[in-house]
Amino acid sequence: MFEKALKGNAAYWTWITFLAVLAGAGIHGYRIQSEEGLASTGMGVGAVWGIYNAQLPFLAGLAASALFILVPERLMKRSELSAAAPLSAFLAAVAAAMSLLFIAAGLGMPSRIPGLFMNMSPSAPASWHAPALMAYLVLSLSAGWALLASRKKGTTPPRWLRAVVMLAVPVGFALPVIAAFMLAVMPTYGLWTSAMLAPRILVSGLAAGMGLLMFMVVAMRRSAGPDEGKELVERLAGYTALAGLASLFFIGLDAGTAFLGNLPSETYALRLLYSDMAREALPAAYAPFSLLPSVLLVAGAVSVALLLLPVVRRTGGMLAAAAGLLIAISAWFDRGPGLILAGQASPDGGTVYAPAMPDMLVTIGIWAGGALLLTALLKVTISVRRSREAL
Amino acid sequence: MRKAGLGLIAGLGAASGILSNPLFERVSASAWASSPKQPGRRWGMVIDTRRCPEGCTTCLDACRRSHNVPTFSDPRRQVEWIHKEDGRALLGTACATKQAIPALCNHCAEPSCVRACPTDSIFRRKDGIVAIDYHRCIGCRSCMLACPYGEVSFNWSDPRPAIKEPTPEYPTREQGVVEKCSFCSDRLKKGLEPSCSSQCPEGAMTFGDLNDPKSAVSRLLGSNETMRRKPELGTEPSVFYII
Repeated sequence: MFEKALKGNAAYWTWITFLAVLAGAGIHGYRIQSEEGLASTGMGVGAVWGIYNAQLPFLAGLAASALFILVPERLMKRSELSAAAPLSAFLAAVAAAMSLLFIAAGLGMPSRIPGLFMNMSPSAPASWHAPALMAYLVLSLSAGWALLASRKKGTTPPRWLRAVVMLAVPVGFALPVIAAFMLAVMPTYGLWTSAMLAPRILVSGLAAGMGLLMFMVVAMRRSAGPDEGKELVERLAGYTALAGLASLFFIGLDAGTAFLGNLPSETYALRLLYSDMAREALPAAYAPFSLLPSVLLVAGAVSVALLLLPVVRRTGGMLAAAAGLLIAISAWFDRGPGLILAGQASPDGGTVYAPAMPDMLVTIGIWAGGALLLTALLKVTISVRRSREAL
Repeated sequence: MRKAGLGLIAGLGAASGILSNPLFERVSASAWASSPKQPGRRWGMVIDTRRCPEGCTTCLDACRRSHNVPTFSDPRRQVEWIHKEDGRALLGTACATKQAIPALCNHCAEPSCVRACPTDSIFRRKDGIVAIDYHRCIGCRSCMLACPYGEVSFNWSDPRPAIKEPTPEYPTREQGVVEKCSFCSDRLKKGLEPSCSSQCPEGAMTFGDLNDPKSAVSRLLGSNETMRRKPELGTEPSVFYII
């Protein structure tokens, strides 16, 4: 089936080449980093974790979001979600694969990666991270592939797929919890020791996952013909809006607690994100980006409001797709760099992290690699759909 | 069990005369802890802030020399097992002195670094020492973030060229692993005191068994007002400060 990803028109190959070049730049960045050590990155005393670890909570939530499609579709016979099921499984697999790459990129001793699986320390939440991601990668990829294969053959999906989905439920829900608990062991960082962390990662991951899925379904309808009804987009838009609303509510709860309690570490991090402070704290080259958190927060909130309008959900066109994409980007910043980088900044002063060239290149490279994998899987999905139509 | 096996191999090497003076410390399998508060030896330190002279760096230098600690000029890449910091910043406003006093790993009874380590590379021994297995560390830096005292350092680049006075007495580390104060467990097994406390010209640092009521540290704790760093976090540090 994978040979379908190797046939495409000029636009497809241009896009693939573009992503491959970016991924190659990432490999170049990693070469610099492994030669000169992590000293070549923007990390250091005061910014111990950088942009690699900053991707992990968001990706954990994104990976878990597939359960909200796979479980009703496979275990509750909700066939109206069938068209989205392989896509969501592939999205989860790509998120898990990218997480594993980001973990590996941030290690000082990459040669000891097997130690993550062989020297597990069960009392440490971080110890469960890589094994759970690995298991979830296998489960979601096999689920997506089996769903697609049965579509191609026109048969009902195999029964063992139900077992795979059932197994994926505890693993998938564990991902945001592990991502939150591995931060909870760090007692001095207020933003990380909130019990709201796991639900916030899960809910914003859900909003992002459903938003991206909606984007992909709309894009596929435009390229492969509207064979799936508009109801699917409408339903996904509804899920995105509700998850986004819950996410905004949770943001408000955390911020409210921080400012009412005047908690020093939390309020500092929030001020750093959403006030003028970042402009002074960041290196000069990054000063233009100091407004980015506020812009993304507002963009996310406006997109959620748009999707709450029934007319936007019913039309299900590019406006809904764009709103879904914006919500995903907003959730990425909120549960990614906003959480890890701002959460790490200390009120006692010290450096605020800003990426240097190698870590920037590697991060772009891993995202390009993820996009490459997702593109190939989408291509296979579209080809399967087209070949079904041709019958 | 793995560590016990490695210890056995090192022991055999020593017995056969290949390694007459093994660099690696041998620890028996029973040396690390199940429960932190069990009876037995618990190493600790009492630092008399009144006797620590401003500007003196004897303990810092002794530590650097005896453990091949690299010296990096960039403050963001620093590796330190012990350093001196403003007393108020270290202990809060109840601390009388504003001058710089030594700070090192607290060898906590409830260490958060140990809970954070995904590979069990940082662990608490039965004698209270929080130790690092440099050959197991994957360099994820979770322990650095978990330590509320910032006493874990990371080798952001190759430390070996940055070692000013190398000693063959202790192994060097490599790029990409964390390191921190070990309470000189290598010297303790030879019957020596930690290099910082043994070389302090003013006798401001006292090392000993906190669980032995007759030890010098216990007597000092009984007869003085002492403080620990961030006691509110419940980490139960083993390093005390007389203020």
